[in-house]
Amino acid sequence: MNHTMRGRLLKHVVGFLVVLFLALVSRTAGADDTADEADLQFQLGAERYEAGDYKGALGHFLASNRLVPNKNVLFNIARTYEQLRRAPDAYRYYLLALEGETNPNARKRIEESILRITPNVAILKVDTDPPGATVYLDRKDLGPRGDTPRTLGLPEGKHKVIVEKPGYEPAESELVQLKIGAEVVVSLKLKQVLGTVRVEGETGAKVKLDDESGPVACTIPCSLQVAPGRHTFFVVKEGFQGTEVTTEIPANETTTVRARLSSQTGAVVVSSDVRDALITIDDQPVGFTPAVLNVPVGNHTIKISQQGYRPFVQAITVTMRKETKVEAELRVVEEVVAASRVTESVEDAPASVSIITSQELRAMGYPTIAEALRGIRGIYLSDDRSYVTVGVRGFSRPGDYGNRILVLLDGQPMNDNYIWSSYVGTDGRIDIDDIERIEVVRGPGSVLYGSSAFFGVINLVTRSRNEPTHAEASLSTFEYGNGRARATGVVRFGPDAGFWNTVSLLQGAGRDFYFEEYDSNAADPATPKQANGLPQDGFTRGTDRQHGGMITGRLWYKSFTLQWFLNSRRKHLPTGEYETIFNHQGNRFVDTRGMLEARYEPQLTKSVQSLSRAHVNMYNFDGYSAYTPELEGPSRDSYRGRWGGVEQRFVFAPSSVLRFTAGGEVIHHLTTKQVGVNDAGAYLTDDQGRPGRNDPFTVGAGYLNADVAPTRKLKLVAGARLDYYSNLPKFEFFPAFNPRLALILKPYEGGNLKIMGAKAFRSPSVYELHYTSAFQRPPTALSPEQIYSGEIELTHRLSQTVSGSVAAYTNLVEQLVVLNEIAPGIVQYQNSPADVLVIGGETEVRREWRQGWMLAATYSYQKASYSGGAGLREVPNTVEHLASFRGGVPIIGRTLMGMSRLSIEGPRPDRNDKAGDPPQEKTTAGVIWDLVLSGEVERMSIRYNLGIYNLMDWKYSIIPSGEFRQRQIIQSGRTILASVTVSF
Amino acid sequence: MKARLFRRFLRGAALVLSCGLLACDENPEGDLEYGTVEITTTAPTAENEIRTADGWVIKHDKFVVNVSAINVAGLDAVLTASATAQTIDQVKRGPKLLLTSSARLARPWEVVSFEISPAKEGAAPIGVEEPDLAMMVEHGWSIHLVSTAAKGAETKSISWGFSSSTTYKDCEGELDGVVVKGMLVRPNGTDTADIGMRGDVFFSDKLDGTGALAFDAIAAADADQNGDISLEELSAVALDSARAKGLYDVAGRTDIVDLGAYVKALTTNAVSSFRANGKCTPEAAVTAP
Repeated sequence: MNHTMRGRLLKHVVGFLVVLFLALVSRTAGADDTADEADLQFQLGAERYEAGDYKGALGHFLASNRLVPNKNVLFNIARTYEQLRRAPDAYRYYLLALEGETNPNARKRIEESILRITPNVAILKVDTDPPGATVYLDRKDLGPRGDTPRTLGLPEGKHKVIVEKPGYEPAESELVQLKIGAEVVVSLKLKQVLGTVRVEGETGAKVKLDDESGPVACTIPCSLQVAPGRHTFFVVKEGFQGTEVTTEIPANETTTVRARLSSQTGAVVVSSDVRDALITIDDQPVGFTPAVLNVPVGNHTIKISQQGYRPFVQAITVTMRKETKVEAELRVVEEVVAASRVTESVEDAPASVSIITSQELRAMGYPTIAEALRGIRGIYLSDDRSYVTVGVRGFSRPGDYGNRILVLLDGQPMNDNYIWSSYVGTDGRIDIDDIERIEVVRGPGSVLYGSSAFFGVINLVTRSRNEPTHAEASLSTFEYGNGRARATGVVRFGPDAGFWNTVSLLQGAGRDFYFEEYDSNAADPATPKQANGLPQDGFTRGTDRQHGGMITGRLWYKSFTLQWFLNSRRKHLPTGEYETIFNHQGNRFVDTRGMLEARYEPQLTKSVQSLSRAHVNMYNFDGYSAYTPELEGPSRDSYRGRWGGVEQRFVFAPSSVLRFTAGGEVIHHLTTKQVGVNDAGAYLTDDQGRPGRNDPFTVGAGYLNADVAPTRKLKLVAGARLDYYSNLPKFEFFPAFNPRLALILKPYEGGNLKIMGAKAFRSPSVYELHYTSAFQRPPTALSPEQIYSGEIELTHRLSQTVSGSVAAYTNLVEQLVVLNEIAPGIVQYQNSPADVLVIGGETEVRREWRQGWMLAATYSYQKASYSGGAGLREVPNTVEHLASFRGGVPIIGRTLMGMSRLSIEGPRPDRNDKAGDPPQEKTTAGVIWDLVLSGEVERMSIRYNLGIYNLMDWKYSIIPSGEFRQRQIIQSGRTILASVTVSF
Repeated sequence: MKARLFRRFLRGAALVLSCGLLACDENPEGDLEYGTVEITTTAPTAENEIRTADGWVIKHDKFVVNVSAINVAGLDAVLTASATAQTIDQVKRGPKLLLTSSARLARPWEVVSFEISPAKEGAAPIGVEEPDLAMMVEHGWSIHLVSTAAKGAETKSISWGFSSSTTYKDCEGELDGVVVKGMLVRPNGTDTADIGMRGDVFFSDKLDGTGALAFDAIAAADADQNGDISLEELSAVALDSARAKGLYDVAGRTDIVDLGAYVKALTTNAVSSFRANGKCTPEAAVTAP
């Protein structure tokens, strides 16, 4: 060991002893001694620095700063590093010194040092969003390099930046190349670690997070993103007791928080002058009037509505434990569609209109359309046991099958295309429970509907779009042993979409009859025999039966509607009409009517509405008429009608003063196949003598209508329609042109005056134009029937519920199509040279339905007479006097109510109207009293009717056509009506 | 649950729909097939000259016959076609259409009958002039004969009107080599049957019309020698002398005693044929005593 080595060993030993000493001293000396030691280290460092021993100085400075961090020491560390040419370390310590320095002179000195050293280091700036993340270089185990934003001075090389921040996911950069004298910026976006909270509960309630007085975080139903951890959700809503929910929210998961609010309610007492009106609060059905309702505290909108009344709407404020009273007075607003093909009030309609309301339909349980119509002013019925037909204002020609009346199903014509017959009995609908309202429009309607809208239009309005999803099943019996079953389903897909469908079945035994015309002398060997070989005795039993089925419904979505209908009825015939074998069980008619209509009614602009309509139709008739072999055996008549059409219409209403309606339609009757066969062969042939015949034809029409209402008290309606029928020999403008003009005035408060004039036509039917047989020749020329009508009607409203009407009118019918005998036993359709003039007046007093009460009384005088016909007597089957009384009364609330109808009709002249005929006789007057009890058991969702029709068993008759041997046919006597409907 | 109920509802609806479209639909035509029935009448012997065995040449100017109640029916009594009274002048050449009816069921119609009966108002004329028709109706004639007979230089004329009424029934005749009762309507076919009438039957010397034609006795009946031989003049001629010569056999009938009665009786056999070789059975109306 040499001297030098011994000296170094000594130094190490001394140094070790000093360090050991200092360490022991420091443990005992305590905190007060730390500053002294740091100061000592600093002094030592300064001395070493002055002596140029930079490494030694650095050790002391670092030790000093470790003991007591000091910005001044930091600066000296930086300087020392600079002297040692360790620029990156010097840069780092200059920055640290700058961070804590506030003295401007010192800052300036440090900044100058940084500027000086910057060319010698590679600068790395690290930013994060959000800031405050700990910065690591290359590896975390090398230790943190400070928090972002951070500027580092580094030696040249490749580095990776790693940042970490609590509540955020760690992030790192790609490798970055650092060069001396250059600056590289690394910016990193930190992704927060969150949990999702779905808050459920009372819709509309406000949610606040952690702070009850803080801002609203969201409105239920809603979702929130929150930092993981424990949170408190405060939920409040007006009218409800607020609540809070505290829960732990895990990271990266969805947590559902359910906040149940108990409402604060107040009582709302609702009453209306119309019982059973529907109450909705904020568009939610809540009950029927009268009612006491518990309603959440706060502002609401209450609506009270009943079919046929203008809805009552009121804003209410419900307060806690206080009673709010709502007394609604509903005003009747009878609406009609059929008069103008737009929905309008009856008062504004340019026609004489009666409405059979849903209340009346339900209260009386009318089994057929015809029964519902009896008692309406100007309307009377004829039932020849084959079909029921409707007479309007004194005209119901025997055997016309109602072809001068147009029946609509929600606007779609339902008459057939064979005879243009209208169907109002079970032949038309097996049941009418789907009918919500029947509109009866008296007077010519060709301006809207073309042919057949001659004396009037009957529109059947079916179920409302507002019905909720439900199902119904019904059983009923009416007249003579008719049993009927019905099933209905209503499905609502949404506010603007729905569907309903009904299926009905009918089985009826019918009644027995005695017809004296068939009561022959049994002792006479030549007396006619029945099918059983016995002499005819006038009695017929089991020959009035019927059965059938119906399917009908509708589908809608917004402006689109699809409706369908199929009704088939087989009716056996007890009357021996067409001189068939009397009391023969086989005599029957089968009528099947089908229809499918698609309709699209968009509101194109604020002032323009469009209607596009397409429809396909079918009508089948099958008749079996028993004849003896000598009369060629039983006749089998059939008809197959198939037709379809399209219609386009625009309604332009530029202001409330003006409304124009323009449109056109084309209907193609592609099949009108008639077949008539008996045991001898075909008696109905085409022009070439071949069996059966098909005479297709096309109808085209255009129409224009204008409504002008310059003031609230005056409205003028003018319109016209032009029809073209390809099966007529030539186009004649005048019969095809059908105008209407109406003036509607409100001359005083409560008064409504209508002055109307119109013309209508009826084009000859396929049957009239083309039917041939051994006994019937086709017409040589047949023109459309024409009717000219003038009417004035005054309605006076006596109170909100009571009104009276008087009307006077005249109708002139020209070119009436009649069946004339042109040779013995040979008949032919011809235009009658005689016109028919009808002059009449009507009056009606009516108290509208209120709280189950209703009363109506009508009287009609209608005098029909021939004009211009030589020697013609009275018009057959006309009725000069009609009267009716209808009244409804609640007995036990909605559970039991009674309704009664008394309809009176005068005598009818029989069909012997020609000079050479036997004396013309008249029927006896009819007085028919019906009484029906009805009601509903709400708890069981049951509705029922129980009643007696023709309670007095009054014997009265109608006049059948010449095809009947009878000159009068007796009408139904006393019969029972019963029905029960269950909803579920 | 709701879906199942809805499906059941749809199934029920489909059932009713099929009833409406199918079960309640009665097609009266079915598989029926049709044809046409036609009946015509001709009288070739009335159209041309008639030559008798005793040398007379007779030419008809008019041979008007009233045919009524033409019926074509089945054995089941179903009447398939009929025609009302028509008055025909058989001198006009060719077949005259008495009945045509199309779209008749294709089947045998075995029962065909008609009448030659006194004309009445409303009878439809076929080739008959209006005065002749009026005369037929006025006198109630069923047959009216206007003829001229010549033998050498001698000429006679006749103008006879008969009011006899004869029903011809059970008509049958040969069709395609087979004897068919009545008519036979084939699918899409036309069965035309012709009723043949004899313009020469009035000159037969046998009551059934099969005898030789003779005119001498009739010519000799012209009592007033004015050339016109009336039925009254014939009725004045007793048959005894003619029968002695072997002519005008009455076949045991005691009601026929004169030539007028004999000629009237011959009208029963005015119809000679149905189809080519067929016949109808005549049945004279019983005259009330």
